[in-house]
Amino acid sequence: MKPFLQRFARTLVNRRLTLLVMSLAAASMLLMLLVPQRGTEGAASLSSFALALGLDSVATAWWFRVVVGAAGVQLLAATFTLARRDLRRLLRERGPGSPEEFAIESPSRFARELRRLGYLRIRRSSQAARYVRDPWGYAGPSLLHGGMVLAVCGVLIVTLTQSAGLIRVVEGQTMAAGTTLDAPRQGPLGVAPVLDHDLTLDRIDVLVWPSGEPRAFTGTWVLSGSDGLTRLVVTTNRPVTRDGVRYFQEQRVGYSFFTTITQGDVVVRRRIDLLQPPSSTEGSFEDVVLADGSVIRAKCLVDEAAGGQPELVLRFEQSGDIVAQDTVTDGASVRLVDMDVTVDAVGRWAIITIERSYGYGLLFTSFFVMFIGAILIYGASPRELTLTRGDDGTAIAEWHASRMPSMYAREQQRLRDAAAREEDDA
Amino acid sequence: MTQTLLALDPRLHLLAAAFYAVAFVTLVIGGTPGGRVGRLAIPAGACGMLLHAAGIVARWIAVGHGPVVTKYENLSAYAIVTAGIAVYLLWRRTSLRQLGLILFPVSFLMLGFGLFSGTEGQNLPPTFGGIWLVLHVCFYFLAFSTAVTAAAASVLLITGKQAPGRTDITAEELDVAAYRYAGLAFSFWGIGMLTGAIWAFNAWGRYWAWDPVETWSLVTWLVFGAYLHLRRFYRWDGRRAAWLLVICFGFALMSLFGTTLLNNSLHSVYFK
Repeated sequence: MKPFLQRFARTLVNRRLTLLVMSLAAASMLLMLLVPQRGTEGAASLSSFALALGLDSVATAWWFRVVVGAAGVQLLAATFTLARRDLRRLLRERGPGSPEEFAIESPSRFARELRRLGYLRIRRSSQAARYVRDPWGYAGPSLLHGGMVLAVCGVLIVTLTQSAGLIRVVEGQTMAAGTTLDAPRQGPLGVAPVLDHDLTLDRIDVLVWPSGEPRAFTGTWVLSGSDGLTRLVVTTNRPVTRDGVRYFQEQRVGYSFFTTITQGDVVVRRRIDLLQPPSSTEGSFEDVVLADGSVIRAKCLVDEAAGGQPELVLRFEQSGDIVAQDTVTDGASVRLVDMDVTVDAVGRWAIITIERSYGYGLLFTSFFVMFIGAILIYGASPRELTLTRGDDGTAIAEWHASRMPSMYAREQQRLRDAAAREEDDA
Repeated sequence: MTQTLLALDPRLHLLAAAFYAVAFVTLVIGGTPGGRVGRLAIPAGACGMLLHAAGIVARWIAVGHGPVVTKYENLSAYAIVTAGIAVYLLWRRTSLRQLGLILFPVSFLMLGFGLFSGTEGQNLPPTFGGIWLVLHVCFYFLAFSTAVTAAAASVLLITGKQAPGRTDITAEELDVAAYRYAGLAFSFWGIGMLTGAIWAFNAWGRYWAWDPVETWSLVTWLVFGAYLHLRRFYRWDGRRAAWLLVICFGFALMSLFGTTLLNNSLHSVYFK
């Protein structure tokens, strides 16, 4: 069994296979970019063959998951292989031989230079003494690859335990516990994305730039249940965590206009939700389709910087032609041809994302592991110096840099100079 | 005050571009290493950087945020980091000074494109905030600049051309420089991507969404990873490795500048 496992591990870290899997992953992602993905323009025109292959949704296609899984397993095998190799390199009796060995003719001066350059003695025996500068650099490849393994594990845990969704609430409105969240994302091990408390949007504060462009949204949300009331103040980009549940204030915020539309004997109550206008001079739009198929284009205008009240501009269209247009504010009515529109109330609405997946701690920790690994690889290349004694009793030094030796040629020269200087002085 | 600073900013950028051009010209006609004219490239490049930094600071004060929103601001930041590497190489890594022959023109062109794309200020959108955003953009500035440096070494290696009178750099040194800077670009790119994932998580409640910019970024990182593996394990070097690195740089360019033109990208909202 053991030889089989060893062969399997060797196959996994085979360099050709590694490059093949990396190429396949990159090619799959290029497909994602080149082929219109589900929900985007052009996806409907894909052939049935492309659909059968899952080319319209590469990220969720089985073959893409196989490639990513293979990459994960390879990374794991590579991490173990690298860790064993690097540990061996760190603890070996003597460093690799160098064709350019040099004699130590000034031991004390040479020892001082070694110390000055930061070489540490790692091993010493009767035959050889081994010094290494930046020995921690040996951990770089293992940490970089290990970090990637942790990231893959983190992604796997997040995906499996995923439970997330969002909900749109108007100021003062309470959504009951058990309400299913919109745009739900649920992993095989994740709990159902539903509200576990009553949720009320107490208020939403909009901070704007002088131009009226939104700067930050802060929602004050109230959770109520058997354990009492909890007030959460959530600002865009600053999520709040409570009992393992994370709350994210979305930047999708706006005004709800509660209207009554009277057309002859027909009275319809409509809530028209419009996004926060992008600035004080630009409006946000929404088309409202009436029962008879006619369309009212609603536009929201507000000068937040000046503390203005939101205005609703209504444009009545029939068969693509503009028939009438007027502006109405809170509590006012307007007549558009044969239709009366009254704004009964205006309130802000906001969307909050509620997320309770596990694994983010591991995922984000992995980033730091990778960071340290990358820094060690490129910023701390180990340089080895092995001292042995020649037949005539002279100490012989062999210098070796494990990565990019030409970058450290000057350091090697300093050591050579220090080793030889006593003779010059004499 | 704000209007004065906003008016001053493009002028400082223009002056910086002029100094980068002077640094390039002095490198071309500089003659042998250490020659009097060639040595002028360092003060010219440093003056350009100072003026450039002053322009960025003036704009920062005027618009109230760092160079992270508009195309002009981003190009300006990429350009100053690239110019910074060029000056560093001239000053401290004299054997690689010839890379300035490409790095200064790249900075000059980026400033030109930036100024041409419009210098109007734009307010920070609500999601643009926090330390993770700062780290995300800073690491991408570093990643691009080190990738340009690696590509510059590769281009010099491929063309085999040197400035008149210059014989102070060997193909092997260019090859090693390309490898080392590609490694740095790979690391910075990866860190930029990862800090971006944390920022995205705070801003939108998800760390990855296969947005075109995110996907291009990951593809670029993988391609750089493949380059590094080919060099390390298959001993790819010389012109073959240089060509591959130029292709990798093409991916980086597409990722940083091409994808912002795609309408279906979340990032395209900001850089247009």
